[in-house]
Amino acid sequence: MSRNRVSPGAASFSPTGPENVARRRFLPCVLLLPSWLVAPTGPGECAGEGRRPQILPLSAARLYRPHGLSG
Amino acid sequence: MGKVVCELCPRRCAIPEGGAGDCRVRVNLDGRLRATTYGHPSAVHVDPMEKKPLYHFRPGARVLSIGTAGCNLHCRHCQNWQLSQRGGEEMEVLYEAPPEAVVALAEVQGCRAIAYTYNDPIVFYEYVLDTAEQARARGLANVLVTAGYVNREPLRRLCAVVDAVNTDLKGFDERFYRDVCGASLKPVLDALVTFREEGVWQEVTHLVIPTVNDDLTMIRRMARWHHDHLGADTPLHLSRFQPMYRLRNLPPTPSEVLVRAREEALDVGLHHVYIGNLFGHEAESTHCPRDGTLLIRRSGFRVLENHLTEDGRCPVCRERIAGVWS
Repeated sequence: MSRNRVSPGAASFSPTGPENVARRRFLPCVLLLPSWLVAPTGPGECAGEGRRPQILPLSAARLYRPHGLSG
Repeated sequence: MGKVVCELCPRRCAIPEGGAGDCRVRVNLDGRLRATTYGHPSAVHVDPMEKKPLYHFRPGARVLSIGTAGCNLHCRHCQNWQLSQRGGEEMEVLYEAPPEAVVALAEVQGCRAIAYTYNDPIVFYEYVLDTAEQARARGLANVLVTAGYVNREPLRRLCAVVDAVNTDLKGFDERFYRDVCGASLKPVLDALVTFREEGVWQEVTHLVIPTVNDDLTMIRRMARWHHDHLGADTPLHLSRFQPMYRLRNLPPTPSEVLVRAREEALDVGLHHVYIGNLFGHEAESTHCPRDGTLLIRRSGFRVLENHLTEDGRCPVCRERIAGVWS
């Protein structure tokens, strides 16, 4: 599979705007980049099929853990 | 719909409609570039500052650390590959964490800083920016742990809201960066200099991997560059490798290799050279570069003693020790 493509989940992408995309996709929030990061070039394509991660509230995070390696 | 070019990092991925960049998390949706992990970390922990590692920045402080899926490097030795080498849709868990929720959690947990870490925060750039601005407004510091593989313009903008950074200098030749990390060295060196120019407190980590980047001649060249471009007072952490990801065939770094590497770095004039991930070693502690007085004694990310004066000086000779101590 090409690394330059969204693998799972990409098939649900559709040109319906961020809100509709967000409802169907795993991420309810997406962000437009500053325009200086974006430069249109030419035609493209999409591919892939998906699975869904669990989306949990931040309060569910296990904040404390035995400390392993630095980072 | 056309391709979009992501100009955030030196890869400058031209992303087709519905596709993702090399990092897997910056995508082209409807002809617009979007950051899919915005507001959705997959790792959220409270760590000590020393774990980043930052030894000269608010010692002993608790730091709320977040990381997302994705990375713009593909290091064969990555210790967080379950995060970094996956897209957001491949994660088991994503947290619902808009910037204000991250800042609020940091405050509730008594953290003095938020760290953007685990994977490379460059790939969740907009999330870092927004969270960091809110954190700063609430009096919290912002810490990056990064490989520094980023273009200069977005990096300069990020520096405006970042207080401290630990930058990985993974090797000191282009072949290593290409073959082991899937990246290149020159942009990383530029980023190291940019952090310094922008006044961000910086410490540097070099993970010493047996047979891969442990050549003492190379380490000496790297330390000399560090001395000449970042200054003798910028701390260097020489960290012990543990077998990980695609380099499980290699052994952990022998302690004597780390000791000899440290001697090389000290010999070219660096003032603060630490050995990391070798818990209990004396080179975890900070000494005065002028008279050798023990200033901060550490063990395994814990600060056991801190003898610095309130204004960050050696209590014996009054030498000012570089860092952010309050």
